Amino acid sequence: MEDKLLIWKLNRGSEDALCRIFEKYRDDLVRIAAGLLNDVNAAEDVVQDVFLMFVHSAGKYEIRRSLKGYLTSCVVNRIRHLNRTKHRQEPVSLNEVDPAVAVSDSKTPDQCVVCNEEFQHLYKAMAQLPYEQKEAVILHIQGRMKFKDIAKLQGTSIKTTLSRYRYGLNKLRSMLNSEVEK
Amino acid sequence: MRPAENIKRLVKNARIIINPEIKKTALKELIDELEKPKTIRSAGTKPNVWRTIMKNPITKLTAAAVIIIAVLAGTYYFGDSVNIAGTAYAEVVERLQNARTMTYIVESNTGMEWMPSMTMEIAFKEPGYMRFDMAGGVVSIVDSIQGKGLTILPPPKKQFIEIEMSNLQNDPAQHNINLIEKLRSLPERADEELGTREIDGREVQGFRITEEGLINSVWIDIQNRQLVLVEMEFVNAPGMSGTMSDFRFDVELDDSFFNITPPDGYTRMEIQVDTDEVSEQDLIEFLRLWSTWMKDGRFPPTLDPTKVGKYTMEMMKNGQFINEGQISEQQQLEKSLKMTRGWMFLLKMPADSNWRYAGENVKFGDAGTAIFWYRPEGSETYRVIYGDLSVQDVAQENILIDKTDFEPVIPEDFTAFPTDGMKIPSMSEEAAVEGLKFFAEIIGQYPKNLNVMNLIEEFQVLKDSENLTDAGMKLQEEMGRMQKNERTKKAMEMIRPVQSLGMFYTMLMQGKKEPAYYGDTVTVQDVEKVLLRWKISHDQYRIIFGNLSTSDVSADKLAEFEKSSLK
Repeated sequence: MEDKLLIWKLNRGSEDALCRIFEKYRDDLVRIAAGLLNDVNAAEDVVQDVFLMFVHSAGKYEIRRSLKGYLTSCVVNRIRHLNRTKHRQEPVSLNEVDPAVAVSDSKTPDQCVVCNEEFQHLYKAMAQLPYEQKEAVILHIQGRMKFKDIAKLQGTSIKTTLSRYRYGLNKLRSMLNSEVEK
Repeated sequence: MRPAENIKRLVKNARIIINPEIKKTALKELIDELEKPKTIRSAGTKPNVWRTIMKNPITKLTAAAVIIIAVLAGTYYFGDSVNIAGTAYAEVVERLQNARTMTYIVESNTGMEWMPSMTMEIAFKEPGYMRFDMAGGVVSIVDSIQGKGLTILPPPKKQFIEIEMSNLQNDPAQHNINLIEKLRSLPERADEELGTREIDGREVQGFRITEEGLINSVWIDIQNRQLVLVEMEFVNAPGMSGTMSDFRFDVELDDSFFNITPPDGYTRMEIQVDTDEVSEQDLIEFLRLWSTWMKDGRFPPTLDPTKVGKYTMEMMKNGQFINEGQISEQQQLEKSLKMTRGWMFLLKMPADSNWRYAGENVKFGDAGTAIFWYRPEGSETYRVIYGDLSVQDVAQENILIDKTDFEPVIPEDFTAFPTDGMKIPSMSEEAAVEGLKFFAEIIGQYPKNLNVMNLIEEFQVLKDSENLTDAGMKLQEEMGRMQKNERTKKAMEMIRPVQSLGMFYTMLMQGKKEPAYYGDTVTVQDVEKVLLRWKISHDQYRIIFGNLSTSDVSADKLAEFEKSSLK
């Protein structure tokens, strides 16, 4: 209910509504984008782009489903576009970026940092997952999205999304366990 | 070894620390954007602008000044409607319907390596001219008013084919104008919003429309409300898809562009698609042709036009067709004409012909098996086509109808469903209210939306959710103690009102009754909030409130109720 009201107010130019939406969802969206991109700076850019687009279209939207789901879809679509562009421009895909570089880059004081060593290992491991698997894991666990909605976003069947999720989780598990055993 | 649950917890709890200064700057940029008059808001997104501002102290000051000026200017230029995305879609639909001329590019993809994708440019002009420019310079022009068509094969062939279509029904949706009419008759409301994405540097908003085996995803540039892309997915032909793009509306298209006079120096290849003359022999030719394409010489599995596409695609994937190798365009054309005429014979068959097809799994040459029979108009006897494609007149009483014809065909690996027979759910308002009541009493909240699939999914929480009402928990326990068959039977009974609810809503949508549903926000306690409403006459709407009471109100009164629902 709150979201509907916020959209209604935003459509009428309410700054308060914008601040509330931003405060409510921005950090979660950055977290999801960071997981997908392995780059916190890029994640913040993506989320800002999405919010700019959202604000730019204030007065034009009628959100029939959850606002968070809508914004998450926009973030995912934008990342996919970036992935495609990056893939076209560079011979190296995001999945091939050295995870250590992606994470350590976020340690500079001016930027975001990953909380602790354990999470750094997690992000490194995530960077090695195939993109679709990573997307299924992050959107389901961090984005709390239903498999049905993820499947719709990925343009696949629920079964495929479930498989991607399970494979992704298993790979993470085996990577993190081997990290522990070292 | 960490169990999977630990990994899930780790992913769930992973946090990144956000620099508050960056966040503050980001929000400022958004507020700045919001404050701008709508007309001068940036057309697209500008990645990294806010980050650059943060990093550069000079631009930071400049930006701050710009923000202050923008705030002082304080011009609001917001539309009043809360549904402009919806109207952007509606505007596109209206533009499609009202276009005097239209051009666009279609790309179709069969999903099969050996069958390449095809691109063609389509031009349309009112009242019924069409032109299809295909790869290799082949051009087809259709004048549906005169019922004539012309296909031009470029040099070195330099041939033309005149097509006479005067006997086709004068219903544009029924023949080859269909492709364009289908696009021009998109429903007024989309089924679903798809969020935004970028296409060729343009931010577009997506809308999904599902109808009659076709899923259209329509992408619209919200900024200038232009139709950018339509993606088509054919439900009955898995793997087959297509796109329509590069739309131009109301451009000047001279009549000569649609001229069906054959060009000088070209030779004629006349073909009559005279549907009045199609006969039983055309169907026989079609069946013969099909059996020659199959590796095992079988006839088609069905003559149901709604299913044959899907079967054909599956059979192609399974390699059941022979590879004909290279065949000439002339041969290809002849074959497709034979097929068309065979289908036309079936389509023109009157309802009382009692035609029946039984050719599935029958091979060509099986003289003892009747594969098709029908009663010609005014005839006392039936015409029966056998597996060797011979035909005989047979008296009605001699039509061999095996009792198995009336038994359902159940695949070997299927078992009987534990129910006392399926009952068709009612589509009445009362039944829909029962469905809503079920959710309120058992699940404790109304379903988020009334799409049938969503309803069934939400119904399934009954299986293992811990967030049910007391009555729901009791029912869950009760069902948990039941035998599988008994449990399934109970579930089937319970799901009926849920299906009724979905079907009732679908019926309202299809009947364009302007239904609106607010189940994601309205609860049982919301006595005066509108849960579901639809139009019942010119100025009257029927409302089902949060407490499931009902009332008929005027449009003005409805607006009041809906406004207070938003508070």
